[in-house]
Amino acid sequence: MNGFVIGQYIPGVSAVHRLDPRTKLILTIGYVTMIFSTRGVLGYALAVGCVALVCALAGISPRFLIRSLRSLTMLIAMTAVLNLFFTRTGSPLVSIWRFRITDEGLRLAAYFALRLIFLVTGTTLLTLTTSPIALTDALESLMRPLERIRFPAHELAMMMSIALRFIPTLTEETDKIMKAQASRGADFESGSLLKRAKALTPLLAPLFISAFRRAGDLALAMESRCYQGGEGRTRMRELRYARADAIAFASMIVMLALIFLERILIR
Amino acid sequence: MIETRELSHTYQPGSPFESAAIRSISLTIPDGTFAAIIGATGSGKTTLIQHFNGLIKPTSGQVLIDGNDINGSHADKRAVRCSVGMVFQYPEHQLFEETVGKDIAFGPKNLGLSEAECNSRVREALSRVGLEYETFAARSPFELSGGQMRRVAVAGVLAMRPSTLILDEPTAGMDPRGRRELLDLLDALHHQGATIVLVSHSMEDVANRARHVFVLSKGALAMEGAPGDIFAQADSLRALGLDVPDIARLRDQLRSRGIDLPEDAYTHEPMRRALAALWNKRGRIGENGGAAT
Ligand SMILES: Nc1ncnc2c1ncn2[C@@H]1O[C@H](COP(=O)(O)OP(=O)(O)O)[C@@H](O)[C@H]1O
Ligand SMILES: [Mg+2]
Repeated sequence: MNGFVIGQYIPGVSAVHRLDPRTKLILTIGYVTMIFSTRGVLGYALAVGCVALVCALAGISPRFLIRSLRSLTMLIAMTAVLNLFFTRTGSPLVSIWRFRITDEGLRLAAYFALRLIFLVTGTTLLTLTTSPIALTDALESLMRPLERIRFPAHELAMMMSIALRFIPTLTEETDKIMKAQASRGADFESGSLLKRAKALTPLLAPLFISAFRRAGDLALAMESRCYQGGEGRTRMRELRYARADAIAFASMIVMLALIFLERILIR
Repeated sequence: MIETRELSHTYQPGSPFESAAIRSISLTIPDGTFAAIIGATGSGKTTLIQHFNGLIKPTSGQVLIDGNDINGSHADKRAVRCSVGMVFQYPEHQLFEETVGKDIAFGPKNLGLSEAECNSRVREALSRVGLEYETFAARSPFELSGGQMRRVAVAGVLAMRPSTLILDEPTAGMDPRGRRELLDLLDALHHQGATIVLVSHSMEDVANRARHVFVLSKGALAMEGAPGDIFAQADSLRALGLDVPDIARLRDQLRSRGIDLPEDAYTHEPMRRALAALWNKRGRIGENGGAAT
């Protein structure tokens, strides 16, 4: 848990936090489209601008954001290396044994690494500034039209919010049971793979039992408060678009238009 | 002997979730004592005791068991966990085996003991917690009552024969009888020479059993001393979100009305004796004393 930033939420009241979660979700999709469809450096320049602006508005230190990339260092490095050595097109720069590094390879390596980095930073910013509950509300609201074709939007959103709600509880529980069994001399860290897998029983068995107990309790608590599914259910927090949302949407449209122009101009 | 020196622990340091759970705590728990740790919820009790057998590492400061730094480079964590037993809050949640007997044998097995030795330890531990081996050893722990499950979990720790036993709010949610029996068990272990560290919310339990009390507040050690000295400071305790036992409150109320009661009248027995002595001396209390209002 320590140092794992992706998927965490930092409560706050900044302009970014107060933005409608639907806006943030759609804008994130726009942002991802932008970095994936850019051909030159424009997309990345705009992405840097977006990230910097959101960080400044939301009061998140860039250093904290960079830490979120640390857990993905391997993946990013792999992507870069593969592109570097296995791109055949372009003019060769150096050749080592049977591998040739071309200028095209260098360009692609940089592009894919940057794409991954911006993808992770952008989506991390979304979860850092949007509570999981707001995010599922947004998803439910955006998927609502699909209910006409019998798509269970409410049920999916409810399942998601329950799952999200129980992640910290189960993490805490795992931590506690691990410590309790370690106090009885259990060893989760050393030994062969088989031995380590076996050592997980004293952890997993109590964890499953407690998850089932919690699920039962929760079902009972929901039923005793007359939960009957999504039909006719009103919401406590109504989602409403405001002026800030319009501004955000407009900026995103402008940026996407620029990227589109860039695609036409750079062939 | 458990010693901490300037012990501090911060959860998730360097993130926006950073929280200092305990700050610069220095204390000594001598061998063979019955110590209690009290404090409001969130005051850092659990964090503190989890340092005592090396489950969490200090952010700064040291933990010494019998003079050895347990986080030092030569430290043997398993040996520490063998000599310092830890009963977690709601320990029944850690049961996992098919039978009670196997679950209790988990600890001894991890110590590498023989089958026969494990078996005798299971018998001994079960009888200590007041459950019959014949009736319970072969049953599934999940068909027992909550109180029985808790006893089995405690037996699982006792089976390792720790010389120090730490318990995190062991009586939470127990009925009065189960509570008394568990505390009596701790007393018995203490009389046989074990060191007991009890984290508790119940001032009564602490007053009746402990020899030494540590009071935590917002992660710092706010008071320490004999229970008599601690429970003489009702106002300070209330300021920390705690209280004194009912009998100590009765003592303070009677005193404020001019009835002379000794300092140690904060548990039943001394209070009964003091009242009986007053009764014998003056005839009826209040007749010519200052109590009538
Ligand atoms: N695993 C954890 N991660 C982050 N903070 C924690 C964790 N465990 C406890 N804390 C925090 O540390 C403080 C002390 O908690 P704890 O030691 O459990 O207190 P107590 O046992 O006295 O109730 C609390 O503010 C709590 O929120
Ligand atoms: Mg606690």
